[in-house]
Amino acid sequence: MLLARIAHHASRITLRALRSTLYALHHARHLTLRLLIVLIFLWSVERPPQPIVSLPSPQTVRTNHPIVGVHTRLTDEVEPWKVHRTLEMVREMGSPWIVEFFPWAYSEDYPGEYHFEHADMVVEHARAQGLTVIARIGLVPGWARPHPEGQDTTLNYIDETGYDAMGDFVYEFVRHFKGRVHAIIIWNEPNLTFEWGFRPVDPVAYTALLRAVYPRAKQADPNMIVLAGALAPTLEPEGSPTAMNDLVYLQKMYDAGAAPYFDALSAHAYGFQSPAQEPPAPDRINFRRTELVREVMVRNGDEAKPVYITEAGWNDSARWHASVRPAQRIEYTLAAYRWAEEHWPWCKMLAMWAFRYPDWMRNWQDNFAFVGVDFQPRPIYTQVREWATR
Amino acid sequence: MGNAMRTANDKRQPPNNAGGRPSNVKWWWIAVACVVIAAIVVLVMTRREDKTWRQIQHSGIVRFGMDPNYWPFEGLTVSGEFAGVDADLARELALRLGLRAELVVVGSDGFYDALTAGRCDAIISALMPDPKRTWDFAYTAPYFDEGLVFVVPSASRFSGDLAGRAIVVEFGSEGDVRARWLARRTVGLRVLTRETSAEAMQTVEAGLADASLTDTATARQYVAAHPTLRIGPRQTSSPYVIAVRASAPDLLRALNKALAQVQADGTLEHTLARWLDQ
Repeated sequence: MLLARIAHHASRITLRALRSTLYALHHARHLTLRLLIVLIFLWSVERPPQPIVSLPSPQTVRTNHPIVGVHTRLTDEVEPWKVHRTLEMVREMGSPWIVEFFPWAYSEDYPGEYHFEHADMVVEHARAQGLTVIARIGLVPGWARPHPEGQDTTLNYIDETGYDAMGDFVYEFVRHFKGRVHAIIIWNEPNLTFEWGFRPVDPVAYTALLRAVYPRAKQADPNMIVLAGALAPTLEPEGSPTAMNDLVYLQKMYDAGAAPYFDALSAHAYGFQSPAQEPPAPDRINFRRTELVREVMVRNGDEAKPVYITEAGWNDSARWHASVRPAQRIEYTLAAYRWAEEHWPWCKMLAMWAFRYPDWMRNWQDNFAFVGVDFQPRPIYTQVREWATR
Repeated sequence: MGNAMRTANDKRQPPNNAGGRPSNVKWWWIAVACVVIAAIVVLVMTRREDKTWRQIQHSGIVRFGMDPNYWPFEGLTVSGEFAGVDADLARELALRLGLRAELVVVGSDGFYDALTAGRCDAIISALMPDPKRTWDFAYTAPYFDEGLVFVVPSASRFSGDLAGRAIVVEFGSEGDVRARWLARRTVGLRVLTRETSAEAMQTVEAGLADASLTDTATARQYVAAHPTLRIGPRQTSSPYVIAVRASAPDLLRALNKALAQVQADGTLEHTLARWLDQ
């Protein structure tokens, strides 16, 4: 309503300016004067638009469950009012944490040329809502990948020749967001082939990436928390063309000497069709598989490090093979928050995937969302808000 | 003076200047024709070859990517073979093109990456077109609409008029979200919720609601087993299409042609009925 009024007001002002300019042109006799009027008009319309959504006064998240978090998807959200509204709804739901994706490829088009305008907008709006931001960093710019004429690669492709460039970017990102971002996640689900640029997954190579990036992050801000892992829960055996078992992958990371190169582990805890309380087992994928991930950490002497669950949840598509009914999804989600809160002292935060997409995904993944593209809350949003804030 | 001269000249010329400076007009048209011909020649000469289609024709195999986790559109049998609407359709389309279909497992997260990296030639996997991606990818015509439909009693004359009606939906489903949206815009519309879509449709069968709102495939599956109900008016549209790289226009054209054939001769409907109406 307010926006409609602003738009209406703006269109009236523009029309008036246009009418005044035409009137002045009509009556101006000298060519110079006419040109001057035209230039003034062009300058006024070509001027960069002033922001129509300003930051709100600082807000505080009211919640009874500070472990509650959500993964937002503001990466491709262009309009500031939508960024504002999304984060406002996150706060209203009683979630003090967000995990957000900040693609390297979007912020460094050319080597050494950094653009953080959009990332700044997201982080500042989040901070204004009282939210703590965890930044996931990934997606490699074209210049840091092989030339497409030699080899077609996806944005998830990185080899050892790109590690230092990513280190430079992480240095710049951490320096820029010092004191504004709580933690960064290096890469996403490197144990999946497609997330590793369709190359065979390689925990040793990922460890080498951490080894290149971690010191650069610390150089920029010694207090920045660097998260590693973010492994996809999967049972795929070693040598599979699509993925590697997350527990095996994590052990191989430790074997390759990854421990000194991360401050905490990022874990993904999808429940698929199992209830949140179902006990873990090496041959099962369920929410409590995170306990097995934790066991690997403890076995490798890393028990002092916390775990941040940066993706989790259930899907309520009518047709996807691993989905549950919408009512079950609500029940399992609330049970998961409770379980982590009561049983996992090493878990700092549990972020459900995903709060809202900037546009429909047009497949079953839309059924992970808490809120529609049109900001219409789904019942799961209402229920989590009720539980977290009542 | 000028006006007077113009009037005098006008009197000497035929009406509407039809015969004025005929040779100039003729040359103007010749020039335009030359430009058009040159443009066509340039377009034809610079048209990029569809390497994907050439490769497919050379090998005799077209590779379809699909995520076999979306039954009954795609899944794997116990013996590990692809089955479902999309698997059958992919094989049929390949057959119509004189090719063999090779079905490749691709996670839905990686559909477009798989096309970019050349892991497959096309994606057929209950995929809806994404307008944001049309610079890099192209889509065929739709072959199925999975949007929301009303399920009504067979004898019902319900035509989509919702004022004063009661509709029933599965709690938290897409139908529920849509029904709440409709309720805010329709006077007297009551929305009932049930825990499953089957329970929602049973409510209609029991005469406790005018219609249920659910996705098309669920509706078809339920109605096939419950002849007291029928599928009523469509409420939303979610078309399924096949995606190819934008650099493969010949493949796109071939797939569209084959799709049109299977639609026209009833093969598509037969395939849909085989998997949905049972």
